[in-house]
Amino acid sequence: MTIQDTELLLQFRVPETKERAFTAIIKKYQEKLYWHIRRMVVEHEDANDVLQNVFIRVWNGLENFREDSQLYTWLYRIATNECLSYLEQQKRKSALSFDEMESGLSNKIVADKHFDPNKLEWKLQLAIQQLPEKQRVVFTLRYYDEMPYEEMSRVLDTSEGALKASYHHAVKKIEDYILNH
Amino acid sequence: MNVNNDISEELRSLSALVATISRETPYQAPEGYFLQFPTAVLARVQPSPIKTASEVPRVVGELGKPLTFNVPEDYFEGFAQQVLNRIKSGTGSSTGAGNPSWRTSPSGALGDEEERLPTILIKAGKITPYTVPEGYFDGLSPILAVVKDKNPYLVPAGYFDGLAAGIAGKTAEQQEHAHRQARVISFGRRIKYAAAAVVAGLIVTVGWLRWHTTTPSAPRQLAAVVPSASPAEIIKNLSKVSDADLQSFLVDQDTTLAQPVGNMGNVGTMATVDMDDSNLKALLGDVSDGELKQYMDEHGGASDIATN
Repeated sequence: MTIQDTELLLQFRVPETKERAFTAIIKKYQEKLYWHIRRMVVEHEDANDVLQNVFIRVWNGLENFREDSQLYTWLYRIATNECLSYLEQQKRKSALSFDEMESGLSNKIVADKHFDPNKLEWKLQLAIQQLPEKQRVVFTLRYYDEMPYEEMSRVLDTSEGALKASYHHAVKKIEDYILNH
Repeated sequence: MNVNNDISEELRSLSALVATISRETPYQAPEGYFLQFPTAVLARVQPSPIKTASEVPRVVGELGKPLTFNVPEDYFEGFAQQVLNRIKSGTGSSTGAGNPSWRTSPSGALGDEEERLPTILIKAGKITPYTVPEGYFDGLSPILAVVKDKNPYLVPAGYFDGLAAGIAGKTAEQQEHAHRQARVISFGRRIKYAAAAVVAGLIVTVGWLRWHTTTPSAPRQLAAVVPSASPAEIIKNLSKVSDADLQSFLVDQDTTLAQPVGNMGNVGTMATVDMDDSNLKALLGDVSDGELKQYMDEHGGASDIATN
């Protein structure tokens, strides 16, 4: 039986049960967050680094977490920000432009040992990497995580209208990419 | 689930092609990754196992870096208390480790020391306990010792006596000046004034140059001479005017050349009135022959003048 987030938060605030509650939170959300991050950074090692950073932030900030938003929303918010920061950091480190960074991520996809250019799901991954970063986040949250616009609006701090428009643009671009490649 | 259906419907409406693609992410995570992950994160967030200072040598040794120096056993455990004891006893560095108070606490209890610590620090003050030999700084540089209090600059005699009054006077003057509030002409208005002055200056200059630089023509000379000059002056000035200029003047005037009245030696006026005999008779009708004769006798040579 899955423990409710509110119960986990209560346990986290008690020193004796803090670590146990934290472990439960990790187990509950690690896979969802991992795949969200992995779709953004592509490589497992990068995704692992980002995911660990996310949960370290959670450990440090969970005591001050205000329960006016859901824990799930808060975790996605941290994960998304951490992803974007990581990509920005990588860009600065390698002194690559945005386009070069995109092609770098595409190269990583192609280099994956399971990559199959004939399969649509791999083409889709390549198409996603052509999108601007924010649009990529919107598309993956909607398409893979099936997140309602209302929820996404809280995660990305953006209006629902803007998110809908962004998603529609993203789908059209992806369709164009798949048809032309 | 309604949300899923909504998302699928939305996607189909946007792109039938994308809607057909499997939503499974093709990436794979290493086997057992998610099982190990919570432990890995906990290892990172848990505090360091080092709890006390006495554990430091052991831990560092475990890291594989051999310790060059050794400290007596339990040295760090009693270190803080030893320092506090020394502060409380007020002993300086001169006493050194040989002072019994360094090793033993006079009062014993740590609580007493904490209570008395501020008093000790107050007593200690900010006086540096170190001393230097007498006259050390004087001998360090004799020149500097001599000149250090001498100011090489001079002020006029009595300068400081009148300084306060002078400043007060200037302040009052400035205040008065501020009250007067002189008219401020903006830069824009000054430009206008300057432009007007330049235009006026140009007009005057052009007028002056035109008047004074052109050669006066005969008519102008005559006009200038005739009205106000005496007959002698007229004759004198006329002699300077060339015949051509005189002719030009007469042509310009476009008048009928009248007979001069009288000879040029006794010219009363330069009459240019067109007169015929009938007009003369009408004018001189009231004048008797005797008066005319007398006039002719007085102005001799006028035989051609008609009489009544």
